[in-house]
Amino acid sequence: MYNPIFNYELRYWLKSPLSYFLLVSFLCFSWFIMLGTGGFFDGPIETKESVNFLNSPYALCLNGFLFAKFLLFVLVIFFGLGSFRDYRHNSHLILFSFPIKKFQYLNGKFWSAALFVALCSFFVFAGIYFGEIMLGKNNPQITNFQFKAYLVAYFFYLLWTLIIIGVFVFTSVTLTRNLFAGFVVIFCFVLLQIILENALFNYPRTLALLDPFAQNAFYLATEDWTQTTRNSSSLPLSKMLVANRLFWMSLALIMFYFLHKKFDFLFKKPIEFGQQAKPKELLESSTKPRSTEFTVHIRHDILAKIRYTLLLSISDLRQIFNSWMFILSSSFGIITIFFIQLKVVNTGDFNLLPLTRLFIGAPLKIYSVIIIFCTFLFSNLIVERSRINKMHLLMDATPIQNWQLIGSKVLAVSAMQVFQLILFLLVSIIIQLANKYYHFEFDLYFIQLFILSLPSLFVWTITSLLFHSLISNRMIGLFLLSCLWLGSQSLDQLGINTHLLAYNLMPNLEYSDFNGFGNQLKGYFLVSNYWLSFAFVIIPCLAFFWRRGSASSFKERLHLIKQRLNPVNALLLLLFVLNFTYFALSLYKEEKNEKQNNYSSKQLKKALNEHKAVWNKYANITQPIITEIDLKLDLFPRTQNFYAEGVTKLINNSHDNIDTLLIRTGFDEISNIYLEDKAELILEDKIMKSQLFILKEQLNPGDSLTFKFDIRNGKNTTFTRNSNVLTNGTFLKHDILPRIGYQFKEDLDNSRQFHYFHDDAHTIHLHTKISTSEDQIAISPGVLVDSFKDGNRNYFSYATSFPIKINFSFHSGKYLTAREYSDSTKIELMHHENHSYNFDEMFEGIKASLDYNRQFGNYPHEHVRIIEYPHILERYAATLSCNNIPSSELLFNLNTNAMKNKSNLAFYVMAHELTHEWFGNQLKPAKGPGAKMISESITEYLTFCIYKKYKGQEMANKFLEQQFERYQRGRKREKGKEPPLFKVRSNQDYIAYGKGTIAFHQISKIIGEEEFLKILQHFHKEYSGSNYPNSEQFVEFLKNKISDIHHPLVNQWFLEVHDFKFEEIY
Amino acid sequence: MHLSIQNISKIYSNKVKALNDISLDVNAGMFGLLGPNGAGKSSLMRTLATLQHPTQGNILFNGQDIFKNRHSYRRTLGYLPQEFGVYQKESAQSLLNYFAILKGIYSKKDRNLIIGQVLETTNLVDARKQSVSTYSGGMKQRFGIAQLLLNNPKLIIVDEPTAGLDPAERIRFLNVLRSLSTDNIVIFSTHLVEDIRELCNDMAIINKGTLLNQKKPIQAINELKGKIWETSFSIKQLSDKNISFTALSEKYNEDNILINRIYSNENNSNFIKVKPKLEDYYFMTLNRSLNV
Repeated sequence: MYNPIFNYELRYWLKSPLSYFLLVSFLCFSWFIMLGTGGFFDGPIETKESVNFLNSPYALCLNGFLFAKFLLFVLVIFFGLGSFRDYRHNSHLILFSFPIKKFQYLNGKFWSAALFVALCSFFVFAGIYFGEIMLGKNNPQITNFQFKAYLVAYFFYLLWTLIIIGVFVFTSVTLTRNLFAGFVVIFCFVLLQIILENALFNYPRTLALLDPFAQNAFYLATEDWTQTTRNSSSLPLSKMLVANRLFWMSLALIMFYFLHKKFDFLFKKPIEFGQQAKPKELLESSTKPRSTEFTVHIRHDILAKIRYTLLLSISDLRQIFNSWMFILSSSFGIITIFFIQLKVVNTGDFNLLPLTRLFIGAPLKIYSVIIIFCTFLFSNLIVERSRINKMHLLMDATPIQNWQLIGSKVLAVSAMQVFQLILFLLVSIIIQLANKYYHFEFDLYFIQLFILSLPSLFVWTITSLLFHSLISNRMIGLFLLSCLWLGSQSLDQLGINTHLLAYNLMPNLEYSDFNGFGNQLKGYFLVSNYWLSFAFVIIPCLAFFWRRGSASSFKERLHLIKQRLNPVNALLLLLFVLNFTYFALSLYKEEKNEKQNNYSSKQLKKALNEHKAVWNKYANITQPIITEIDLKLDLFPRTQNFYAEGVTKLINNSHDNIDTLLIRTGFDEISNIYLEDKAELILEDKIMKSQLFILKEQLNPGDSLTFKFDIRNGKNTTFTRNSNVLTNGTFLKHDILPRIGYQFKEDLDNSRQFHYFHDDAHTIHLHTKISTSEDQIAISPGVLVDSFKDGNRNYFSYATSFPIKINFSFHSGKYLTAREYSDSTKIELMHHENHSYNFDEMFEGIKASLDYNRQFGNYPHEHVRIIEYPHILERYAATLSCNNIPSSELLFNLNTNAMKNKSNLAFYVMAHELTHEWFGNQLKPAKGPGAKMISESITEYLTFCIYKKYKGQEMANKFLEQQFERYQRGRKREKGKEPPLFKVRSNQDYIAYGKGTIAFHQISKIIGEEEFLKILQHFHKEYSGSNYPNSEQFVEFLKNKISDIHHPLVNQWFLEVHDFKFEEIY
Repeated sequence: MHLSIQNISKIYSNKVKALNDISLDVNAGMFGLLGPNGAGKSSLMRTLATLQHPTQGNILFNGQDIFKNRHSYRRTLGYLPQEFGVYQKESAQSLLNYFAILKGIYSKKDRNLIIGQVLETTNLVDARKQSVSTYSGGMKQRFGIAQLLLNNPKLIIVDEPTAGLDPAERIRFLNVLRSLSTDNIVIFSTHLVEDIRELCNDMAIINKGTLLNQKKPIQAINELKGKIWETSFSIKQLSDKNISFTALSEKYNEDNILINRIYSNENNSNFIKVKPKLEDYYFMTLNRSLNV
């Protein structure tokens, strides 16, 4: 059917340069993303593991979801502008009098826009396809081209979503006759998805149905997919996915019907927001003019000008605040952040206290994006406000100066940002109050929100005002601003890693209650000041380019700039440029220094490959083992440095003579090895910190050798902390010390000569003299032998009572100590002064473990120390290090009240870690696959038993359920073929912990728990000490102790991989 | 008080020459700028309001170059463009307060006082709380005058302010302007000769960006005395009779006969002498410019 509106619109868009600009932009954008991800700029990925293909149906669909967000912008342009254009140019007054039908008009506008949206999204996939071709089939991340996959991802996922949302954009703009309404609609759709994801994460089916982008329906349909399936399977067409599409299509149809009902060819807007002023009946006005005699006190001094600027900014701010778009955006923003914060503290497995540091992390980052979007949108609104309302000529002829107008806009947008940050603060406080958490850290909120975040937002304010001032087409202005923001986020995809170019991109900050922001602030402020100084350079430019009056041509604007560049402005600009240059040079210097002192991941990858090529031949040379370390360690918390010196004793416990010694020192440290005249250095790798010595006198079996060493941390640079010495909460691990032998062996080695944890020592004696600042306590493994204060430093001496595994750490901090006893064992809990939560659970876990594991022998140490460390240093919750259990801040911040229906994490972690004393420390598995079955699976099973005994069957069942879910989750992420339990590798925790617990529980269920524990007791007794068992030996041991009829069950759980449901193991 | 426009030309980026070497001298009082649509009136007004730069030429106000002293000049300026809009949902009072700030009225008390006075002058007191965007055309124009008066301007530039106003509003509006012109310069552009005749003590006619004439209206009318005729002859007939004349306008009389109004130094029995009007001068000036 011929539709003149459709034809006209089509011709309009075909003639519009904006259409071509968008098509080319999206083509290039997707093309570069594909090339960047495929390593076109910084080299393809090098791994032996299988990788995710970038052009698999699954990946294409994910790309579709990513670009759907960017293409939302295009919806406003085509659907919004198509409809809005008639009102902007007042052509609707004529057009609406023509004999056209509503249906014809609306359909013509809508489908012409839809066609161009379809073209833009088509160009996205064209860009991906070009990227695929350029990367080539030799790229490890590229598989065969699949036309059908492109087709489905394009039509069913991307285009469908865009058309649906397009209906909402088209309706809102047509009915309100306001283009901004379109922006608010797409903004709300993005936020709606975030809200749904955070509010309904426990209801995946509802989430899948309601997600407007169908992303969660896709995830639900592919949740069981492993990497192999993801790389090879066609895109799913699940019932839920179809339901989602139909649900949103229905809503879109209803919306279109609503538009059709509401829309009319009338002069008046169909929908008005806010109160409508009713015209009043006016009194008959006199034709006689009245007196115009009045005195005006006009002031134009600087103070008055500042006051006017403030007053104007209030007017602009009022305009923003009164806008229904702002109210809607802010409301959606706040609801989003509310649900995100709730999710941050209520994760699936455990609940955290609503800590300030949690709120100012990821939730604030997401909220900042919302504020940046509002900044782009509302800065445009107040810059264009007078032009939109055609009031600019009245205003421009007034004596107000440009800097006052600009200043008022800057202040208004900044005030809007402050308001939004305050909203964030209020939501955070409300959540804290609702959780009965009254430790309000207003100082931390203030620093993060107003000292750290606001300057970066200010830079966006200035940038946004510049763009809107320079570019009269607001759509292009907003589009380019969005591109700038996105570009800064993804610059590293192009292999560019410098803060000098990543526009207003701040380094990541992590806060710990121990260390605060620590040394990160120096780098942060340097980058922040650099971009701030750039913003100050922009400000005078903003004044030069500010649109005032009716300057029409570029030449005329240049002429205006020349006029505005008076000596005062020029001097100001010069000063700002100098200031910017200073920060640019400082940043350049620091980054150069950074590159000199630290290696990039690319350099490291190369160095490791080279190291392996040269040094691999020394992988199996016989080496002596470490038996004793005497260490003096000085910690300097204020400067975050340390210095260590000591003596390592080695013994040749092999049957061979040893004439070479391979020593590898700490990677981040600067170490010196002193072998005096006992050996000669013949080979050294300074990057991988390896040294090969020829011994002048070979080491015969049983002979010993000592060497001295000193170690200092690598230089801490502005952006990198090269030591784990913190101002408070130092946590240095044993990896700072020299080690013996080749350290890069594959995990597949299967040797019973050494235990799983290390192959350069069985167990060692450790003596430590450790010093720290006068306000801190320093801790090392073993027993405290001596402590004293000398000058402004505290000194502590520790010694181990018996040889220990090389798995220990050194700590220093301003700790408070809580103590309890379990029989004669002292339990000390050393914690941050503000972290006094979950002590009972942790003590209970330790006591339960001590009590329960007594069946495997007594706890060998006099006491257990739980030492809290900052969460920024390690991601794991806790580990056993001799008689110490370093534990993350996380355990001290659990919201136990909210976890009544979940497993008790504080109790569990302590019980688990201490159980490692028997299975992990006393009984050490042999090196090789399956080692973790002996260390972790048994320990986790025993923790389950402890749970059952001390917390009841119900809690134990929950624990089991969590292990089942952990296993299922891990299976989906498995990149290779899943091995059976007895071949579990070190990085397969989902098998070691998840399946392991279930497997052991299944056996104990069949043969009886008591009987099974007896078998474990025997196993422990037989293999403790230096008899390192491997997993096959354990399975044999088990089979020997149980009836033959149970052997198939053992085979099924330990030697095979099979599918099972939770009901079967319950 | 004196405004001197010296050889102003304005060429837009699309090469259109909107103003062509215009020079004018304007003193206190009402100055009318007359010209057909597209003559360049608004371009000249915008240039006078410092909203655009001339391609060449200077404008001096009391001897000072207005573009070099733009800010001090704007303090004395009141400008009402041909078309203007206002912020939506803002009352007259609130918008006037906004303009008062823009114009540098410092204290709130002063602003309130002045706003009250200008509302009274423009007869908008009763509608002061009403949203200006809902005003009728005449009320909006009066609001435009109200904002213009806030800073007690010495130079008032109003660009075709009576276009679209009903007769009563027009008279009301012109009266306000007339009252302002006593001590100030009021430059008033229009394509309606009637407005100039009723108001201005000086005027200029421009067309196609060129100044055609600057004269006092009364002087212009006097120049035409005895030379304006009405005749029922058509232009062709007049030309055939070799009569020297300039056709000014034509209209139908009550008998539906087309009557031509002409300028001629010759007398003819078929001509009826009529009283000259300012329109005659305007049309004659335009016609002459076309014939040049």
